[in-house]
Amino acid sequence: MYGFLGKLLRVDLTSGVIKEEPVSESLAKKYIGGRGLGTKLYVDEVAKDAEVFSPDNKLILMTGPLTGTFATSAGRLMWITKAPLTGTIGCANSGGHFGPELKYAGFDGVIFEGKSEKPVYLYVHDGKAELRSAEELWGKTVFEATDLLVAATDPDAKVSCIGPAGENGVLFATIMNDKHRAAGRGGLGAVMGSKNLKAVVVRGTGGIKVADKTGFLAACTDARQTLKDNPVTGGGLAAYGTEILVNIINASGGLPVRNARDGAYYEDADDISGETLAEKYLVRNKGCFGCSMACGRVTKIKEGPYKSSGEGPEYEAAWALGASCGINDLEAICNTNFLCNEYGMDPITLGATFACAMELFDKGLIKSEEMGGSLVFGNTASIVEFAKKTAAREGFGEKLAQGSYRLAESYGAPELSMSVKKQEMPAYDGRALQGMGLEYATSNRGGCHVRGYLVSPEILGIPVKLDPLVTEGKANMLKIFQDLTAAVDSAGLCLFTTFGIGLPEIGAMLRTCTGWDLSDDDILKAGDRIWNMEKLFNMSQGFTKKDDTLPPRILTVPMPAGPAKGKVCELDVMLPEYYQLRGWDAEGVPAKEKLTDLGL
Amino acid sequence: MVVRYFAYFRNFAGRKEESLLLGPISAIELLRELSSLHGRTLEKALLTDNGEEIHSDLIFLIDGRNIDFLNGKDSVIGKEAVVSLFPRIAGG
Repeated sequence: MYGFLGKLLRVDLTSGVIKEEPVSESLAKKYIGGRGLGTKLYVDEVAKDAEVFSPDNKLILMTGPLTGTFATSAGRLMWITKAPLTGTIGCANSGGHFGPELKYAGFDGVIFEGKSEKPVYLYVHDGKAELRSAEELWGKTVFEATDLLVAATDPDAKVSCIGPAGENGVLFATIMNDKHRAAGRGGLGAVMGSKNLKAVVVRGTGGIKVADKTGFLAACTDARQTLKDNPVTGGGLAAYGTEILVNIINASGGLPVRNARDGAYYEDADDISGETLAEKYLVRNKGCFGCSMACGRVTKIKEGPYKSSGEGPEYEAAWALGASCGINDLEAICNTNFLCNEYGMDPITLGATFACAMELFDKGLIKSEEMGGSLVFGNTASIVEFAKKTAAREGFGEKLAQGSYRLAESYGAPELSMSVKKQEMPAYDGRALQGMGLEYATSNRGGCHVRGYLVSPEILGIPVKLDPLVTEGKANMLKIFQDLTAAVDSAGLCLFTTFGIGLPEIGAMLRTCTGWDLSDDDILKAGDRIWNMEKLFNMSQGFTKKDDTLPPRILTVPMPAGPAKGKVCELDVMLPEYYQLRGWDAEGVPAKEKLTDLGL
Repeated sequence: MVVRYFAYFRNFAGRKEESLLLGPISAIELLRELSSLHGRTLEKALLTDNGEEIHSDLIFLIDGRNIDFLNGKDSVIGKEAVVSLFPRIAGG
């Protein structure tokens, strides 16, 4: 196989037995790799009724054929399991350098099954793999554990691990790699913790064979040049990072404020923007493996109560901990974001859960004595304090650790959770960006922005311009974006490449790397196949059309001001068209002919 | 009206925002005014070389609405409007 090492590790954590298995090339070609291939293995191997935290559940780590190659921005990996937060398929993507290093160590992926009696970590190095005790590491933060593991193995080792949040079963715990890169959403870190698996450490000196060296080099060089020449991927992302979106989404009236209760225009947006981050706190930008876009932020708060350093925040985190909580102090937001990385927590769900708690408090449903602090809109210090309590599940942090839906439901007000399928929606209001409303409602992993990012056409004009306030054309564009995203995730590329390159460039890299005879349409069809496979898994877990929806606030409460004034998300208009374009019936069930056509 | 600049446009204009006694005025006329006020670097980011069209990488909002969905370069800006000017950016 080209692009692949052709080998997987199967690690039985119960018995401690580790086996090597071949990668099926026919399956790989059908599902590309990464997200697609990993999910295929998961749905084939795991019983549909397996409890998420039981030893019967499995956790799969998978790379794509382009991961670790010369392809541009190809440092991605995917973790796959059932998501504790949602109960849907859980697949979370991460960059950094860990994924490539796993391949250099000789393996395309790892299947973890069972549960270890005591904390362990897996060490994979140049074709060998062993389980080692992690008892001394249990309770350590991501940063501490990473440093200790590098010291215990190899100075050039790369580490993927959980922090205290994953150990403690926080339902939105992340799996962190390279200290600061997160497989962020859905709570997959809690599954890792439930298996007593603290970390995976990889070190390798091998390489990856490609089918057509000359053609691959040319395709990669062409893609890199195209990205370099593009104003977004060739300069904007490096200068300002993803945080640059704060002001444009706000100016467009789409930045949800105070749990989306107060519309979507935040008067203090500039205080938490990418411009302000670059001006006051940015040390330097940073790239993942093989990436010229280098959107990462190395940041530092030099003094004051929030003195700290780390990476980020990304746009979504700045919104969740900022505008969504009515907080305009970027130092506190940075500090809390750093804590999320240290403890291994998703800052989007954390911030949105804070915002939900703040509104519950405003409504008198949570009493201050129960809260044990002052988690209220605008209270800057509270987000730092309650981030720590949440990771430890201490005091009111126990309730926050369940995410906003379970929190709001426990107070009889689930409608105050700004979530879809129990996962919190990120930083775009579906009333102001109609297509994003449809995207959230139909995402296979609940409220999520990276399963078909219609912000691109609706606000940024990439690759075409679509009016954010209208519904026309959104269903069709969303299907294309969802399928393309599934293919990109599976190939091992960063989704941000699609701001500058498209299927022709991606297809050229994939074909010359793997030697597969796949047309661009075949690649998009593989994305469609992956999407439908995930949908079928969700249906097996009891998800139906009623779950393809949005919070009542977004569907029924008109936007109070701004360019979207008076608008609600017209999901009822878009959803039937979307189902039809997908080849699903009126209830959102894939037609038999559709599944046959996809080979499912 | 108020004109707000974002990202590196702030460097080009030397400010974050400004109030101008203008309007009603078309989008393209406003860009020419801003170019004459703040110089060639900003002008190159706002307009095509011949000054006849809006630069393809400019995102131009009037009260939050992209002029692409209004009347393009002929969109009319009122006295009380808020104009937001962004270079082509992305994130997520």
